[in-house]
Amino acid sequence: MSDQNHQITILAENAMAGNRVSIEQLVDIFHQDIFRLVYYKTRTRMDAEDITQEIFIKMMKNLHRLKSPNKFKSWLFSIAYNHIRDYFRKQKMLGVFGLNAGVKDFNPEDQDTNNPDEDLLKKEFQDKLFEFIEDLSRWEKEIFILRFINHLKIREVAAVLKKNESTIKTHLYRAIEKLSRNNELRDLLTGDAG
Amino acid sequence: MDRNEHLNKNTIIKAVIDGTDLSKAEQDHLAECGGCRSEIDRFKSELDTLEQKADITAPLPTRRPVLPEKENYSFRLFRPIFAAGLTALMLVAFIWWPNGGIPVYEETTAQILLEMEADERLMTDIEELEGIALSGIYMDESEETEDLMEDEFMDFLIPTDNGSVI
Repeated sequence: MSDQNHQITILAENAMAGNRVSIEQLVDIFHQDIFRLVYYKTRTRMDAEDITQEIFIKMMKNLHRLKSPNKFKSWLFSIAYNHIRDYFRKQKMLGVFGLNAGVKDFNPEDQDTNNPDEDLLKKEFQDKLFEFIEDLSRWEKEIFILRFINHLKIREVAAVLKKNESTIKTHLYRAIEKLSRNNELRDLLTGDAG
Repeated sequence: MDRNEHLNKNTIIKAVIDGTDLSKAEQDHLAECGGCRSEIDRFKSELDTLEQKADITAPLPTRRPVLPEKENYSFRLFRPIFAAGLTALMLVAFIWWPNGGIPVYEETTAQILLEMEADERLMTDIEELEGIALSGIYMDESEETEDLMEDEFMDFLIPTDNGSVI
């Protein structure tokens, strides 16, 4: 077990015992990861911030249900994954009654820096990446995001989605195969764009 | 697979995901073929770049999650144990308590005799009340016997000259 994993396990154990400091430390460690996952699913910073907040409250309330502290990371991502799924279900229901505008488009103001060229490159890459992700099947999408956006290992992805590793590998294989045929995105990765 | 044959695109992707999933022949070829290894490395490098760029291009959260005030976690942890204990206690009480704790009135012979005596007294009172309209107490207070009452009443109904009853 790596040092970081060991540290997370200890923090999770303490958090389960009600140690507030440990809970806050776990939030600090995973805050950005969870936010990034939500952001790549919702594509708006505002929603991502709200949903991230809700996920951590859910985490805190359900700590007593965590069975293995050494699996805290997978457990937290499972909570996030389910919460995001509920969010989309709710959005879909509201959409049926005409109460929402559906999934919001990417908002470039979400990430403006002081460098317009850099902003443009970022936006171009993100547009292509979103486009690519959008074209993947449901499971390819979920697995691709967890593996390459959230840097989870195949074993961890399997734990989050409650599927076996070979299923994960099969979907990942298909997603990577599609990526290998997406020259526009690959050009941006190899620096051959333009 | 021929040892000298290069890995095809599908096998390269398989190797990128997990090199241990390759067959023995494919692994042997890979160990000897620099061209295939560099192809795999190139693909892995592209995926690494994708991961890095995805990190960089994602915005950073502007606010840190605020967690609610501390709850009684220790109670939350022990709540299932507490509930299980309470259930077990109720189960034991149910088993050990006669008739499962439901009260049952058993009539003894003495109780039955007492009730019979009470019933008898009640019946006697009823019979007496049927015979005399006024109870014994009121009869004593009026200081009149039943016979006098009857004479006077008859005199009132059929008066005689000397006041005696015919």
